[in-house]
Amino acid sequence: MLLAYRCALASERVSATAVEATEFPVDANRHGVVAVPTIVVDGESRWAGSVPESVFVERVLQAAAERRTRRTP
Amino acid sequence: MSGSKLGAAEQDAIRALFEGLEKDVALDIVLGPETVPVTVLAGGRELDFAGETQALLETVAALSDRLTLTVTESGTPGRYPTLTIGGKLRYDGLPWGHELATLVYGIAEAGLSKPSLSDVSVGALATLERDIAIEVYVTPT
Repeated sequence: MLLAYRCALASERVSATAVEATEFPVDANRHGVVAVPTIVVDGESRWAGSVPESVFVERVLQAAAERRTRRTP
Repeated sequence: MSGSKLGAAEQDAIRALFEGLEKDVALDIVLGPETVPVTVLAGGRELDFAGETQALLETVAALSDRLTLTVTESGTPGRYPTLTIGGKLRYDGLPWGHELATLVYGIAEAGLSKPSLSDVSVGALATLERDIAIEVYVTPT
């Protein structure tokens, strides 16, 4: 979770929210959360488990790029 | 678990961590009706998420002069309680169990004068051309 927070503090473009899965099971189920931490980027479940900082940032950027590509006709 | 029951040793450790705060950090809790209320039992009783969160944050906020706490009520159904740390970082739910660490280290990060990410990562994030919303699902155990 801290990596997401650090990214948000480092970039005005990034927001980061921790969501207590036990308390919000409907949202957790919608994203298919079966392990924690599960990382959701722009409403899409991306990966589960802790990763090093460089991998975390790379995956966030990759998610951003994929969304941009999908939006481009 | 209850915020007021945060042990003396835990409070001492958190107080020591908060001595590293380099700027003021606002803690803002919003309470309100949950869209889908759930019941969670802990220690044989039903958890009062709003009350526990407020009690915990009152205890935590008292551990540093750098911290301020506001509590507001919303009438709109949503994901409550929700906490905003330093106007930027958000935590939806009660930060209990292992997630107490997320709360206190999140505050510690928000109180730094510069990001603790590596320069390489900061540079990579600077290439983002649009806003990105990250949600991390966590549990207290």
